[in-house]
Amino acid sequence: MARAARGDAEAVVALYDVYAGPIYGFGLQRLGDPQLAEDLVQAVMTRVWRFAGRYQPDRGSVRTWVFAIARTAAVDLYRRRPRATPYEHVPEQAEVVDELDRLLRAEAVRAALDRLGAEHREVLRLAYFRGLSQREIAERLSLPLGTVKSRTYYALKSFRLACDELGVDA
Amino acid sequence: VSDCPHRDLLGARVLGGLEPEDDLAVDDHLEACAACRLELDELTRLPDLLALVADAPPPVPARVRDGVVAAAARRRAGRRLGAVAGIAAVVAALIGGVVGWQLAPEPMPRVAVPLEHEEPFEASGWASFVAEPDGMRVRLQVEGLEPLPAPEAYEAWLYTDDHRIVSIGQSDEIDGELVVEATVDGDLDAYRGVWLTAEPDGRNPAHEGPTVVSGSVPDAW
Repeated sequence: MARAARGDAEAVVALYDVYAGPIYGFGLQRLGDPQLAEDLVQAVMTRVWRFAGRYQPDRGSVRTWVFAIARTAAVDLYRRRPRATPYEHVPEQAEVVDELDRLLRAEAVRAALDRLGAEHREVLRLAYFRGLSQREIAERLSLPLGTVKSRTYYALKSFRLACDELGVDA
Repeated sequence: VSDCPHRDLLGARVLGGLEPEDDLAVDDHLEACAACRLELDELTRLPDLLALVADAPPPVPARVRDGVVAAAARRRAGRRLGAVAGIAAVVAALIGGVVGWQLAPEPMPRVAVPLEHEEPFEASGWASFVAEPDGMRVRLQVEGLEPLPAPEAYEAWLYTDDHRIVSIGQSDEIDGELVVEATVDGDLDAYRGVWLTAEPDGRNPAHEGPTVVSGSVPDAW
């Protein structure tokens, strides 16, 4: 945080890489507009590094601090939407923390998948995200059925290992 | 598990997609193989994690990252100059009529401006602006107001530098004075004016009511 406060590019990027994804997703869900979601990321990250020197560890984690900033910034941006829409629910801080925690976790899982080899990622994509059977995957990839079964097993094992390394509890 | 011939079926068992005969074979095998039961138990939780990604929003466009990094770099380059300007701004604000000063370990920039009444209202008050880590705190304190019958409500607004109107919030509680406060995005230079209106219908988010008091947002701290 101290390095971010000094404008250290690496520190700023490190904070961005952890929090930008969840904040963007939060913005899409809450503000319903990709441009406003981008504005939210920009606003939050700018405030984070601008005021990083005032962050006090004894008052809470960086995560909590960033999430509080995200909530305020989202409410600000919400007010700036076209005024034709009626007032809607303004989220409580605990609600925002839960939502951002889930998105933060999703971002970590995505990072775990990125650590897998291409073959493992592909078999998980086809088996889980596309819902293909093992036989269909074998036909799609022109592989023996036994190879697909084995690859699916090792892909899951590798995924679990990557999650462990990134601190994502199953 | 490493020597078990059924081990390779456990991945597809967890994700779905085994042929029916393979599913039955796994069922039979699990009854007899504690190691595979343990392995299956560990793999069973993984689809819940994959589901998080399935529901996850798309990645942030790369241009946003570039913009944040560039802004940080610009701020770093301008930090030395900014420190001098900051001191000058504080001195100017003190001379220009600062009404409040936080005696905190790390005082935040703070200024206040008078709010002048608009006919036919006879109210008056102050708007104060305080820089905070998560934005800028704006507080309106207005005296001399009459209570409004529902659904009417007093509503405070900011006029932005790019000609937009931003609601700060509403209040219908008048205990000697009316107070509306909120943290808004940006800095002093993002806003030009501040005012309070008497809205005919507080449930309507549009600005339709007459101005009660108004003031100008100062250019700098």
